[in-house]
Amino acid sequence: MTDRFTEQLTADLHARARRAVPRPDLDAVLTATPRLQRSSHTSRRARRTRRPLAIAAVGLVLGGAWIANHYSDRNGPDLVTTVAPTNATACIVFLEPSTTDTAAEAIGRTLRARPGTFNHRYVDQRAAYAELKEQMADRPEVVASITPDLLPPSWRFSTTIDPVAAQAELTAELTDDAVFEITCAPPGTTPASPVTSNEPPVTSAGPLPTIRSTATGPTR
Amino acid sequence: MQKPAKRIEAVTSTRDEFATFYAAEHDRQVRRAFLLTGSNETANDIVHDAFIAVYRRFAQLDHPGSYLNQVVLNGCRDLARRQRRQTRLLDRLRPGSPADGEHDVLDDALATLPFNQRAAVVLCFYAQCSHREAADALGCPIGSIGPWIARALAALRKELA
Repeated sequence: MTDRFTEQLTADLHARARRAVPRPDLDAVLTATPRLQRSSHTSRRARRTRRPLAIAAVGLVLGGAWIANHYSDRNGPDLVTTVAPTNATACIVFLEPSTTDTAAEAIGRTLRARPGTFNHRYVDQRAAYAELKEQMADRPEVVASITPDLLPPSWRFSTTIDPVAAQAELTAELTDDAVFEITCAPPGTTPASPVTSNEPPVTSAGPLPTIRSTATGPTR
Repeated sequence: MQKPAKRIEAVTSTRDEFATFYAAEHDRQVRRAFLLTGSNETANDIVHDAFIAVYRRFAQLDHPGSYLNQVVLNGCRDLARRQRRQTRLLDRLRPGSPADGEHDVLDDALATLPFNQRAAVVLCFYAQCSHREAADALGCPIGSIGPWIARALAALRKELA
């Protein structure tokens, strides 16, 4: 069954195997120190796996909830906040959980500088966690399995551009590694974003500003 | 019951024998595990833990080499299972996300094979095991090895063409 292909395969396997770098450690074996059971190893691997899952899942929950809330006001605009045009698109720019205050601030400046955008607000990890707890009140096991440091902070704002174009423009413009996901929802009827702070995160002032949950929304 | 001096002698003798066995087998097992996992770090970790398992019952094993083969292969198989599950979940959430780490063409082609086929190829073509030895290491009937290799070679021919 040996032919040219299998000969070549055998040679390739040997060549590939030579690239392995064995790290013998007889003493560790004799003192029985398992590597795969070390807590640091396990937690690092677990973090690598859990992180994107948690970000994606929480992003979907929070993003969906915020956008739904954004368009759900059927009884008039929120008196506290800016009244947005009826054709406004809701956009969320999710950032990587490890994003620094400076990077978040820079992205906020970019978003504010875009024409036709308004109601910018920053939702930090603590606020995102508060939102998650509220949205998942009936799923305590989900909330218990997630810690605030896993959640993506985000910039949320409205724009008059249609969602497809807005998403394309934002994707092209925001090439920063800190940007994890950009979501824009189609125009609704009366967007009302209950803004409690329009300020970007302040780098020198320690933790990012905590934003009240959007779920407290407009007065009915 | 052995006297303390004799017990110490026996323990020392076992340690020396194990050290010789470790020196003879370690690098070979790491290279084999590397071909099966595609990761140097993981291969070293799996082999390390396999040696601990062997050391714990070294005195009772008639063929520590065969036992070590099995433990290493089981470690690689567990890892392949976990990776497949994780990849499936991640792909569902983030389609088109690039895989981590550096790979070469052969590694990518091997990664497309089911674990048993990949292990059969590595054992028979790299480790030069007979079908009987490969079957013992994989804990399967000898008749399974031939078809696994045939299917693996067909897939690799296609991938590497």
